[in-house]
Amino acid sequence: MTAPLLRVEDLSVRFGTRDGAVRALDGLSFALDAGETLALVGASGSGKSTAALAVAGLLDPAARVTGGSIRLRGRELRTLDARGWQAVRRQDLAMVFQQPRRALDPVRRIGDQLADALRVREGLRGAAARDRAVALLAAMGLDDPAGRLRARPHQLSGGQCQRVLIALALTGRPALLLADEPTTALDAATQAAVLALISVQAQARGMATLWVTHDLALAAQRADRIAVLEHGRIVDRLPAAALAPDPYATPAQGAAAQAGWHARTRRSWTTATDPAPPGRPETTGPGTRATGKSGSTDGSGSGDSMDAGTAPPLLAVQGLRRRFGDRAAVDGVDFVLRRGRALGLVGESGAGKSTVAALVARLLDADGGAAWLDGGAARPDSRPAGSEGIAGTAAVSAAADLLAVPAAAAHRAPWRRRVQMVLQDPLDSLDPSARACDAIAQPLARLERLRGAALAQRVREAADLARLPQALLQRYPHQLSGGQAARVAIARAIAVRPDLLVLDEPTSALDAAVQQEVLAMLAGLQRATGMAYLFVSHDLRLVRRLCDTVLVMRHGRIVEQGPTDRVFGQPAQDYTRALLAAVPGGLPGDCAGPAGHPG
Amino acid sequence: MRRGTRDRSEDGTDGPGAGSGAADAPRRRRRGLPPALWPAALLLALAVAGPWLAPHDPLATDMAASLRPPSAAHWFGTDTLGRDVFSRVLAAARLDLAMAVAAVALSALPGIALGAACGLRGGWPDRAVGRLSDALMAFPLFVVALALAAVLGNSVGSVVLATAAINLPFYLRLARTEVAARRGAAYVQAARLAGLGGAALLRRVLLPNALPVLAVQASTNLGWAILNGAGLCFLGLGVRPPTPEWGVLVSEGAQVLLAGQWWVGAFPGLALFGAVYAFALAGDALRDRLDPRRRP
Repeated sequence: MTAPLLRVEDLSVRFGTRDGAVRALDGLSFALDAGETLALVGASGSGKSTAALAVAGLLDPAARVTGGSIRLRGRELRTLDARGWQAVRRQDLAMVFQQPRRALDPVRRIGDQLADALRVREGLRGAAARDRAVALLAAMGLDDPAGRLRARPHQLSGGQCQRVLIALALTGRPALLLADEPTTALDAATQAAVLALISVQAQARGMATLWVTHDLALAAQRADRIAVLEHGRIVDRLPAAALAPDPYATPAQGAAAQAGWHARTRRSWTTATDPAPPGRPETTGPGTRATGKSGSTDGSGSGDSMDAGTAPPLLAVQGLRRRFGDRAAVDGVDFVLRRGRALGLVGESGAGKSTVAALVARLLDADGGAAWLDGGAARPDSRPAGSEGIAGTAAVSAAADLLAVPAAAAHRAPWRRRVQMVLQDPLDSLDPSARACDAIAQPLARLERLRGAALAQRVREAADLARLPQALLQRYPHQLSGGQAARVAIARAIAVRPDLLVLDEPTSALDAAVQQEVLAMLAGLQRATGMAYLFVSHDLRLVRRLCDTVLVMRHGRIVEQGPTDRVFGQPAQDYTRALLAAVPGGLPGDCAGPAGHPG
Repeated sequence: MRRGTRDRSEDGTDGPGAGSGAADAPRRRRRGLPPALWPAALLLALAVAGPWLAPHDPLATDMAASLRPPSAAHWFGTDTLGRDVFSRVLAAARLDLAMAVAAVALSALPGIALGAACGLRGGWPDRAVGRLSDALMAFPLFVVALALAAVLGNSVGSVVLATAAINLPFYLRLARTEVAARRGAAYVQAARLAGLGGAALLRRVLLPNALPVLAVQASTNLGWAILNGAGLCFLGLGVRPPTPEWGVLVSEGAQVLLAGQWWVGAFPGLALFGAVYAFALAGDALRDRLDPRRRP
């Protein structure tokens, strides 16, 4: 019996923090054979990333390995010096990181970064290196590989950056590939493609792969074995076959297998395929879902017509257009959003969803089209302006043309309080020099001119609504975790009680457990306050949970729209079907085909 | 390749030690000034208390005791007119520091304000102001000082103005860059959503975040401003003997240096060196204190 490629025995890693030592890993042991794929699955804080980083020798300076051993090809990694690590990383190891944009040097061209790797790992220079780089990028599925060599990371989409990272990782002949949540930041379709790419390449080269992920469904899809981590130790080991649904099983067998799966792996952090949390109406069968406030299922959130006799929709968008250079990011988008409803905007990365969100929230100027708040299709109503209530009641609200003022002056617009947005990266959207309470107080002080005790009271209320513990209010952003920062960002957006809340992928930077909580909080919030949501996300599972209407976008246009159940249950367009098929683990209860099997 | 983002747990106690301990834990606040600020604090104290601390009258001449080397009676020796060098160096601290602070204030405040506004606005006003500031930077200090002395008269004021004029473009450029780099940041967009724009955005969001860099610049600049001022006075502008000023003292000392009386010019020179060094250290300490990431 040959020795395993990677053997980790009794590994313990400790971090020194101000409150004493934190045990990130506590006697972790696992082994990986050549060509095998092992998934380390666990919640945030379970130590899975720490394990991968320990194998790569990239632990934080504050971390100390206090025990155990890591052997790669029989060589002990703990005792390596800098030179030894260089050799290991050149020859045997490759790593793919979570945030592709952050793992690439932003000021250098892709070609130069690839050339570095090729020179060090394959000994190629000059024209030979260039040809190999082009071949690698082509193998990664990038179009125009020669042109991409001259590009810089900000000119590529997230998915393309990740492909470049994988290309970098595949230079040389690494025996072991470490993948630290490589697709969390990507939309579902790109996720599927990138995962397939990694799997195919690993198999073709006989590489062993260590996946780190919080997504059990994904692990079941891609790995041979799964190790579940909690608090720095492995608490369960399963062969992935135990979790993969059998394509030949009858529906009853399939359901029984699913139930067995849940029973075996019932942990708070598994993905959105869990049963709904309390407070949301339970599903009663495939494809049905009780819709939100008004309970109507006539698709009144979709398309063009206004219901006869009802108030004008909260938001009416017509023909919205925006170009960046010669690329049409948004190309004629029409939709309608009613009060108290949630509209989901889905599509792969580059479809224009975030641009639409930024246009609606008026952070960007549009090149054409119209957007009306509480107004009709074409003309403003002759209601007096300035009748917006401080208390955010749904009473007399003026019709407002959102596009009337340029984005640079939007902060002064009278409707600023009524349209708020939660930006994509919660940690980045908080002022690093301000505490959480100051961040939440900022819109209140500015838009509602509150001061002193009244201001403090509203800040507390907003924090409560967003389920943010009061103790966290005094912290600075760098002292907050991703989930906590997301809640601060949401508290800040809802503090002024807007009528419309635009959410741009508010949970993409969070792990599954926190995602669940934030979603539950958003759903509860909507019931409590009657806010309308425009929810942009690449994750169809989340959109399904929260939104009653959905728009599918592609290349800046709406491809399909309608009630969520109908669009996800019986998609009319091929593109929608493709998006649905790409969701790892499938959407519960949909009939889009056998779930979870790669094509 | 840089590392990806770190895993952060929900309650903030796990994960890499990024200082994310519980908020209720008592903060380890350092009592008093950090050691890096002591030289600058000492300098300030000496400048303020100088005249009372001096053992002799800085202006009192005593021809009998002229050019005595350092001794118990005269720690730094005496100069050609018999004045105690130590007392003169101490008395000069006040004037030099005052000139430097005034020059930095006069250059930093308008420079930062204008630079920040340009950085936020962008476009042609930004470019126009940038070119004007480049033109100003092209003038050598002495030329500007002479011109101002000719126009305004030869006084301390014109020296201060000259130093301020030379330094202004640096603040302008630095503030402009810092603001322009941050103006597309997510938290700036969030501030716009909160109703902040224009001057309020600068005041409450952009400048506080640029503050650490600007503070370090200002503090290092104080050192340079002292040298500038002393240099001009060394050349005869601004301050007339017998007013003690480090540059003037060095100038007096240069005249007797080759005859062997090194103490007349060396000690004022050392004082200048010490002052510049003290402010450089202070700049580092300031940056550490002001960086929000290092706050408990």
